[in-house]
Amino acid sequence: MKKRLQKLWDETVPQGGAAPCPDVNAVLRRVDAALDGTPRKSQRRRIVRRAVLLVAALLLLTVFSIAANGGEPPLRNVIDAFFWNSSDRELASSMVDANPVTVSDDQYTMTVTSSAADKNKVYLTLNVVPKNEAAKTRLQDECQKGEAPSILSFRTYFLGDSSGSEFSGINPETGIFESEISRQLLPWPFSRSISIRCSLMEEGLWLKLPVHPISSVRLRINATAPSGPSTQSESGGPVTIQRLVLSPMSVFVQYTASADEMGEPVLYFLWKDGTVNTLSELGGRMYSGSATISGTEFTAKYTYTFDGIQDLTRMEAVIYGGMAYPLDGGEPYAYDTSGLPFPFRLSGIEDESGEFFVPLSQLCQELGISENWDAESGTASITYRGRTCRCTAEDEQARLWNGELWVSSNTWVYANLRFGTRPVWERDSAEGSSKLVGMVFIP
Amino acid sequence: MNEYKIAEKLRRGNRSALEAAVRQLTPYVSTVIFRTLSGRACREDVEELTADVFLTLWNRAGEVDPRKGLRPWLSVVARNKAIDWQRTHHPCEPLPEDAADPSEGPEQRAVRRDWSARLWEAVDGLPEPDRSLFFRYYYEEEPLGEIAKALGLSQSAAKQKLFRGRKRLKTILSGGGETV
Repeated sequence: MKKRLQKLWDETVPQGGAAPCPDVNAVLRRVDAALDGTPRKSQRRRIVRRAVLLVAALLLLTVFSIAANGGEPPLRNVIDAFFWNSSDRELASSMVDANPVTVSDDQYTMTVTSSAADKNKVYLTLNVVPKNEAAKTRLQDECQKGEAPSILSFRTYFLGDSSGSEFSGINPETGIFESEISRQLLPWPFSRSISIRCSLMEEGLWLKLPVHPISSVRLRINATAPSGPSTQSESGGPVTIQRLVLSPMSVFVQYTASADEMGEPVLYFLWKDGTVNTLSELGGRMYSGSATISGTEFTAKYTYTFDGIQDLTRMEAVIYGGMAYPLDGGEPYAYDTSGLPFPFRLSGIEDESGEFFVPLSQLCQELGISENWDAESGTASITYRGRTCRCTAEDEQARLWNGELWVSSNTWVYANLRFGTRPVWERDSAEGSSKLVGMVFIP
Repeated sequence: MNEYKIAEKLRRGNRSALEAAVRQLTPYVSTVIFRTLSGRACREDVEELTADVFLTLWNRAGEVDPRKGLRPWLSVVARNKAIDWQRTHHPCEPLPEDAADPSEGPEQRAVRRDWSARLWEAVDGLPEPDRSLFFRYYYEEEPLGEIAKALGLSQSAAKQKLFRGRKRLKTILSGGGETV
């Protein structure tokens, strides 16, 4: 609705243009940017303090590791585990809390060796060290019970399940249980801490880890845009973003879509030097969180974790639906997204081992790149995003069918070309089972 | 959420209360800013100053007495911010009457500031109760029924006054002089 002052302005001021009435959303954007975008002084001090502690902790850990394990490398921290693709290692390290938090009983010591959190998720590395041979044997027995060791449980406020990058298991060389865990958080300030328990330790013994989220930026987008193909339909349908919270570690998106089509928002990230990245390029290929269907509406609250710490001081805006939403709270402006990568869907076939394959030629066609086929050596190579991938018909991730090379969309493409993929299932009404028939690629 | 509840929640650091305050009280705060600047401000100036007022509210919410609501406190802060802003932003030379609409930039902002001041002056020059009616309806965005009641007018009389007042303002701002 037009503001009253704008109406008065339009009717009375011969020059026309924008009336001086403030746009409430613009005021909110400025307030959000000021509160969320710039770390407050105390946070800056904390970051510096953490950096100093990190260096000290790393030194201690190195000395400890060398003494205890005869030259073993230091423990992996959350940067190695979750944000391994960080280009600015110093920046990434400044966001890690490397203060070990420990609980101990007669048999075991459980330690969170490093943690990091934004307002969307907490990431941590943890180990459980047995104190004697009997405890070591019991730990090994417990962990061999199933594929996913379940000696850990969590209490207090978190939502959703772990991300795909989790790892848990016993290090065969040391006998120590190691785990890399991420958990979705309830909105701050409900997640001031999380509590973790090891089922092998004394009853009632919980490790309480304080959560200190780094700054994030909340963007008020409230816009609808096409989603591209989804696992449910070729078009995907329109998607409306209600809320977007961006941090150096992840982006949280709350959006609605049609329950029949279940499209996913197509986001781009514009840097101050003019380059544009897709969500998949930044590593945000998988999501975690919750989704609900109410009537014909699908509502999702998903967090996409980047695979490297992003320097938001270098980022200009998030682009959605042809509009750029500046991180500094400035006025959104039109941005031409034609020519930028967009999701597409390919049909494929599943082989006897359960691997799913799509034709390389079609993949290249969708990407607008060419494949080089060397008939003599039977090798195909493609170059995309600065990476060259080569495969032969003898590859485990490639197959020849009807004279054409097909590549596995589950592993090969995902790992090398930085795509997000979503499986397309088709229900066989006669057999009542579902089979994989296609794959949505999110470049 | 009423103003008193918002004030209480702000004291407890509730971020949603801040959003509610911005949504409900932006017209009020911006009008105080306009009044202090005699209308000489473009949209971007007002948005910047208004945001600054609400950030101060967030950082100093403990000073607000919830029993008095937010307006008295916001009014003082908005006025002080606007005075400070005026000190650091030197007014531009008045532009000619026939100033064209240049491309986006400082010149255009100066033009808009100038027209904004002219509109404010023209409204300020209206006889009472039209003057109050215009300020409260167009700047503070109060419901017409409430303004009419406060000014002792029927709603249809208030509408008539708005209609005639707009015509008068148009004549004044078009350089045609005031006709009564």
